[in-house]
Amino acid sequence: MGRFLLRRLASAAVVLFTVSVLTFLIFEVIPNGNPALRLAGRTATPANIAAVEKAYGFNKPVYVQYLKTMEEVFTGRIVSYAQNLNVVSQLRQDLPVTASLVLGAAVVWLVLGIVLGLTAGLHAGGPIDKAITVLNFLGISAPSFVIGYVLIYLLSFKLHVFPSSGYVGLSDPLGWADHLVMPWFSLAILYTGIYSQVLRASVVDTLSEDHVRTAKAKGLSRRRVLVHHVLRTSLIPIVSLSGLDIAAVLGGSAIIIEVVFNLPGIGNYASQAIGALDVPPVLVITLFGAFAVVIFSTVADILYAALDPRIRATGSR
Amino acid sequence: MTLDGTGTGRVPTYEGGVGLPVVPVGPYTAGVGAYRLALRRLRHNYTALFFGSLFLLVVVLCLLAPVYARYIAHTGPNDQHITEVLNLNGKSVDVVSLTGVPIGPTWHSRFFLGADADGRDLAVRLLYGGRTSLAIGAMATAVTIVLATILGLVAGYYRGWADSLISRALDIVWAYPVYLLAIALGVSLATGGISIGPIQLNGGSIFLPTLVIGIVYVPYVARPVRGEVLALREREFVEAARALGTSNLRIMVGEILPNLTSTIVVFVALQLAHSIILEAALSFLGAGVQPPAASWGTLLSAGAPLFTVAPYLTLAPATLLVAACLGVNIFGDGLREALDPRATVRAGR
Amino acid sequence: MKVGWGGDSFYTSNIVGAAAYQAGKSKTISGIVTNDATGQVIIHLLAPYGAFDNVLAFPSSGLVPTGTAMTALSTSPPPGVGSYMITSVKPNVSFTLEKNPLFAGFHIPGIPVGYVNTVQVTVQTNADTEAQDVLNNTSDEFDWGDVIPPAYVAQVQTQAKGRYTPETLAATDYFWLNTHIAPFNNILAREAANLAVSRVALQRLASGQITPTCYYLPPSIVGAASGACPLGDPSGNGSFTASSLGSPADIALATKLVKKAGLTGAPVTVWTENREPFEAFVTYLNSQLNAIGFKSALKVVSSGVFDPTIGSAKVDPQAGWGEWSQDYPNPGDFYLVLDARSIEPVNNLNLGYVNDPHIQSTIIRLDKVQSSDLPSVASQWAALEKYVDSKDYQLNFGYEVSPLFLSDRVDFATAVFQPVFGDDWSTFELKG
Repeated sequence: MGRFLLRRLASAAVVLFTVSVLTFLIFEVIPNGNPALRLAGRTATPANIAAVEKAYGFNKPVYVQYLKTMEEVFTGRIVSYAQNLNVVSQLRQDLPVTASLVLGAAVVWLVLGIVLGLTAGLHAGGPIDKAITVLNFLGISAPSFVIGYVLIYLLSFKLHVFPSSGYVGLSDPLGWADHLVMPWFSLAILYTGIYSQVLRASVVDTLSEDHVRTAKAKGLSRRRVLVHHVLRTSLIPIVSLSGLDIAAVLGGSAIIIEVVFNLPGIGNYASQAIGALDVPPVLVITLFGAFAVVIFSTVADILYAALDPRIRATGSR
Repeated sequence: MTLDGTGTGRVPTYEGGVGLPVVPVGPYTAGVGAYRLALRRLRHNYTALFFGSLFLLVVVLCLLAPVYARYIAHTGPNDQHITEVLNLNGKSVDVVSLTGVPIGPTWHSRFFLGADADGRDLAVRLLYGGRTSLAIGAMATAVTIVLATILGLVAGYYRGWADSLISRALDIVWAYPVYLLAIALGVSLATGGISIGPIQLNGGSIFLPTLVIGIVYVPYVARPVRGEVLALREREFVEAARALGTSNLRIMVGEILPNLTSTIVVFVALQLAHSIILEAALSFLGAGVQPPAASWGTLLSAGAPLFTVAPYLTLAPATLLVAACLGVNIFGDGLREALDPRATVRAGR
Repeated sequence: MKVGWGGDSFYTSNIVGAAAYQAGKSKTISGIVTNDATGQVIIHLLAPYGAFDNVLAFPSSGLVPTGTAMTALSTSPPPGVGSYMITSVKPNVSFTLEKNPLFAGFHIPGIPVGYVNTVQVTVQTNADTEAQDVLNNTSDEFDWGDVIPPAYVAQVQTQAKGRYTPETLAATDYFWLNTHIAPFNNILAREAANLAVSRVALQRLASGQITPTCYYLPPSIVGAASGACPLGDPSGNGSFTASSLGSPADIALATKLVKKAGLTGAPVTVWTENREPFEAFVTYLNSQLNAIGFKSALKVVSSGVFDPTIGSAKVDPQAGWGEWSQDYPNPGDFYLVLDARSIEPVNNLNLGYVNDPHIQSTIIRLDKVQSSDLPSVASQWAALEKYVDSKDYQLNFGYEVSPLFLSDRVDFATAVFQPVFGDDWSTFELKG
């Protein structure tokens, strides 16, 4: 186990290093992307621009700039070009919003996914199953931001049930939830569909297995047997999959949902920073997202390795 | 066991990695080819057939875009009619009002679904946009499948340092936050385009979002493929081939690849839906297809600010997009079931 | 003088020794002479510049002692000397202003001392929510720097009738045409482009939030021209064609002019940034240029790199969207854009590469006039405006409009909107 962990840590370090280099380079190659041009302003002369370059160190070679930026990232001193504000403190402000969004959505999709999946599986072949399956596929087939806009139109604009945008802190729990219900569902519907289908298939499989029939013969209620067995075998995989999906959402759909619902979270900040071609926040947020993926997949791997000795033996993942 | 029906009917299961698709090589009946059986199962799956036709219907509609534009709408996708005034039921209506709100569906041949904020015919743009979105989806899927198959084969077959290298590369692409990578690449490439040797792509080329979307999904497909290859290479027929002195390349392509076909086929359908959705998301964020070209994503993006006063600007592309993805998803599910009823391939990201 | 603001060149181009100081070649600015005994400060200029007192009046030109460190003070702003002072700041979230108790005691004539005690400002990045909040009176002011979102314009115009006026800013939107390369080095091509662009259509693209025009100087600037726009001289014999702003685009005549110039099928790339409605403006230009016979392509650039990209001589863009808003109320500020001396290889302002001897001699002569004497040369600036228009150097199409949009609680009649600085909070009074 120790060797396994060490190997994973080493590969994690390689991954994060490469991600940081890639991000840096992507912005380096943008033509006319020299931040000094923007910082110096519209009426700047070449002399003005040169002065700004010297002040910020943009005239140094790429790897020197990279090392300097990474040092600033690790000491937390990193400052954005566009706004001259410390990136880490901005992120600390924005993190609760994104955490509320993503974790809340995860709860929704786990609960709904399990409930719907169990229900569909228990009534496999019947109309309830068909209805749920159609809903699942609809959920998988619609982009999250489309769902978001439809929800805003119906629930906010027409029926005035929920506010259409903005974030309210936890100090006002009712307001907090009020503003997050539609974003939660927009994010969760895709994964609800996925998990519901997976769980349904698992239930259907289990129904045909021998020891379940035996248990039924013994007189235990069908439902209890099923739920007990299915949940026991599927819970760990589903929870660790959720972990991976949370990490994926952080770097993915959360950004779009934050933009659609105007939630001042990390994703929104990242999207604005990219639009302004502001490297420091983008770098930090990308590393943060990659880090989340690496952590969650390592944890998931550990769980699987603990359960299945074959994986550990097959070497690199 | 090869799928032409020889060998024993053992059904191995293999976890291809953390929670990723489990697609066992399926059972078969001696005497009837597995593919024939699959086709038979598919033919009786009316739901899958219905939704598959729905997808085909959308494709055909979009392919007919030039016909619609020329003969029915009498305008192109980029022709702007901002100050034009239409005569509807005796009333004069501005195509674009003085406050910038475009006309709604007229249900007539011109401006059937109304106009967009730039005075262009929405229905025409919807169909032309569909062509772009579907084309990008198909090409990106091709990129993903080809790259993932090659990488998965090489990594799974050779193992050792090739596997480490490829797995590390896959890890990096996998860990990189999808949208940040796509947006950053999209913005930087859209500004300058790429010129690597003879390959010159300008910023507006649709090959750029195609490449980005294609590459982003490679780990998603490559890992399960690698997992399957890892299992398949231990099988007797591979050992036999090696004993016979067959070259590695021949083994990979001749023995292992055919056994991956059902996995790959199912992934094609899944990836088509994924790619279409990712293209919509990227274009929505401004990092995909560049204006004035239309795609479902750019239409959604243009319609969003006017959603409360002109909802059909968003609802029209959304409906076609969902219809196309629903069609291909359910058909793909039917394919999976036909090829092996016990597999549980995950959909969605 | 490491001003973290784009206005450095107002100093480095005007004050003797400022450029050397900024490049680090000198420890002081030789052109600024101070006398500690008399308290007098003399600033020597490189050339007579009548608008220099405007430069000194910039809020960003604060005179500080040498050696003052340049640090960002966003989180702890320095004390102000106006009617209000900033008392708390949460960057990107909110800030609070409170009445300055000492200000009333200064008795500055003509300047209001402020009515409300506290101004609480919350940053709302979503303009839709902003509009909704002011409509239902949960917020008192719509940020004048924002544009009312297209979906709400009609609603605001009807629902908020007594508390909304569109105010014309001293800012002009235009399409610049690169006059030193094909095809727009040919005056017929420029005239054709001018004829093909309907100002009224562009107004609709801006949801009605620009005032159509063909002249460059906004109405509040001394020297602004008026009357029918001379759109150039298609006959080539020295007579102007005037047009009214409401006329639709004359595609037929424009196509004829393009053909006459032999430029049918000439390739053009038009540039825009990816913000609305600017992207919509250039999309329109693109489609119109195609309609009159050019082969036009649209290039959308991320707004973060737009200015540096189009300002690069290597890119040498042919046409695109531009805008100028006043730094100070002097036509010389606007004419920096048409001044040949502004042409730079990097961060170029004069995107039309306009180098016209008549314009140069007029600007140099009129720039020497003190800003207090501006009205005396107003007619000369207006004549220059008509000249520029007749040469179709740039296609001016609209003055930007800013919303003065307040809640029910504020007394709309007394609220003041200033063309440069926007809403004057010190004039806001709560009703009753």
